[in-house]
Amino acid sequence: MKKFFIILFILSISLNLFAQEFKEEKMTQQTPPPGMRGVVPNLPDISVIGDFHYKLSTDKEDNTKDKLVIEEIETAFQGYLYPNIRADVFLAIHKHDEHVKPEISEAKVSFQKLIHNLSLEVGKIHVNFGKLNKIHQHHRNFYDQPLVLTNFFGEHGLVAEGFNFSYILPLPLFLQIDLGFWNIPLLHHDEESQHNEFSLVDKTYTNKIWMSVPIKTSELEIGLNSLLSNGPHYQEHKDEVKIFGVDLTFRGFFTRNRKFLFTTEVYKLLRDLEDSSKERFGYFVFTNYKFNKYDSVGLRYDDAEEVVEGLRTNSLSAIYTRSLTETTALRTQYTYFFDNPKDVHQLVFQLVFGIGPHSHLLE
Amino acid sequence: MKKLIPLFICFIFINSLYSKQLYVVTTTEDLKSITEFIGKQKVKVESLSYGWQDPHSVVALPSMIVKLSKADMLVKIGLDLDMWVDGLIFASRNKNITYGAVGYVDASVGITLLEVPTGKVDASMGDIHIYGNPHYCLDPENGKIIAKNILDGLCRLSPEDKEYFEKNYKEFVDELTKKIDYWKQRLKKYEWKNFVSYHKSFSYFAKRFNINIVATVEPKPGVPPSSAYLKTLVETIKKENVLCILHENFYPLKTSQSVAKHTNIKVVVLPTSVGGVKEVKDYFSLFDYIVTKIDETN
Repeated sequence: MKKFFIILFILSISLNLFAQEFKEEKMTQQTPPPGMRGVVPNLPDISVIGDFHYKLSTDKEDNTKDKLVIEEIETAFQGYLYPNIRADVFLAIHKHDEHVKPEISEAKVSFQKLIHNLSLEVGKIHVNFGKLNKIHQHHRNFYDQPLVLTNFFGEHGLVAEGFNFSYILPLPLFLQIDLGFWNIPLLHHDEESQHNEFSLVDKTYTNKIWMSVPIKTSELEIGLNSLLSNGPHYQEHKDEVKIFGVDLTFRGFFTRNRKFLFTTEVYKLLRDLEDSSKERFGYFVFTNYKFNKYDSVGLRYDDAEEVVEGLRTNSLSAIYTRSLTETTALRTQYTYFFDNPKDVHQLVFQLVFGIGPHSHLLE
Repeated sequence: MKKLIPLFICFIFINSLYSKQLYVVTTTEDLKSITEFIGKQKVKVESLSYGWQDPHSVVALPSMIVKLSKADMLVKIGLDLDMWVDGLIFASRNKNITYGAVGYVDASVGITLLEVPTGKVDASMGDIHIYGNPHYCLDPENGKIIAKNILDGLCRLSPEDKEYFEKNYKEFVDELTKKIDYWKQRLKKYEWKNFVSYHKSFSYFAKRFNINIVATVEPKPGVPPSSAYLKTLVETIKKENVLCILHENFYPLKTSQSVAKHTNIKVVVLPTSVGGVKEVKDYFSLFDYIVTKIDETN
């Protein structure tokens, strides 16, 4: 009887061990779920960015209020083509009024160094003009684009097809000169409304002098920008446009993940038509304080003239952002539009998320 | 006028001495300190980030591009901790410091990594580092491996100074070996005792000095704790007889303090890098400071 129990005991332990070993082997051999089947070293970095918002507004004519709006879904493919040459392709599905349209948000090939400190970007690019234009909307500290950028450059800012040469001067301080040669197709999305809307078209030349001065642990950036382009009625009215701008950004860094940001961009637009000329002005000021790893508060003031009619709009926004990760954030933004043509109060809840490795330089 | 000639010669001489210096840029102050020990006066070293900054979220700035554009060598932590530097390397136009180039040093090469995730890795696991825990500088034994990687980089760039760098490397390793014994002695009474840290920054440190980190204040890397999780943490601390919370000095202190209050233990606020507090001026004083603080608090 005793022997029987000993044999049974040994047998049960052996079976148990075998079962555990078998279980472990099965666990290591299991197939990962779709999309997570391991890292293939020669794949580019692939990522998806989503931008959703829900808007409450006192504006009765705003047809985007009181519903969830999927503002943008962006897919990015980023990687090297050759030593010191990389490609970044951002494909986006945007919402324009009631229509959802796919488009190439940005697709560029960057040559790190042609000669000396000269580099080149080729493709469809968020032009390095001002501070904010280069930054994709989902990486900005607010849900909407400042009014001056929308009025002067369009809904997505200054995005153009062409070449950008960029040269860093061999100085102790950062001083970069950018020269861009672009082509902007006539009104991207809605050709019917071309007579009411302003946009830059055809051949466009941009220039930016960008310098940066470290001040102890902080940094001050100054940009001087100029642009020469055509207005939407160039064929009929020799509609020529010049834009001059200054951008200024100050970043302060403190202990415990506290960061302070102040940025402003001021633009003047000169539009020469055959028999007349117009001047338009606009700016925004934004300040943001990140008081720990996760939370930040910001204030933005916008003042911009609309190019065609000269209608001036002012707004003040208060923004709270909770960052979950580097690419995922929850945001609440209250905006008050001053009485032009009427007072509007607007509250927006935004969710921006990112899956996968997604990068933009210097944001 | 003649009096100025010796002055001019002196200037040329000093200038030529300095021009022989290699200009090394590091992503953190730990790496800067170790590079300075190996290179001494034959290198000029600058760090892109400060020791008091959260190394996970350093903001890439234009001034960093200028430093990188002139660098003979770049030393980075790797393992995606300082991935903010990758875009800057490209923007610097400096082909000598791009991945695989002669002046590119990934200090993590040869490190025995901890917490390397296996299988599926995604954001449900928090802000996880896919190649493993990148806070390896906090094991002083790893300082020797980092120093070897830096030594190799310096010898590649300046083979004529190989002997000089090797001598400095040996001195650094010898000094570090002595200090490790000393730190081990000081922490001997804490061996196998239980601790909690805010983030998983002290995993390598804990392994080296045989202390147990039984939990973190963050439920998952980069994720702030919920009140439900904190309740569990308080229970764990009580059950496991935790001595104190090791709190990285760039994270919000309030939560750790609240947990400590509920469990009647102390919070030790610690730097994780050289320059993290003003007393920590080099790699040795980093561990002196951490060891002293732990010892003082308990």
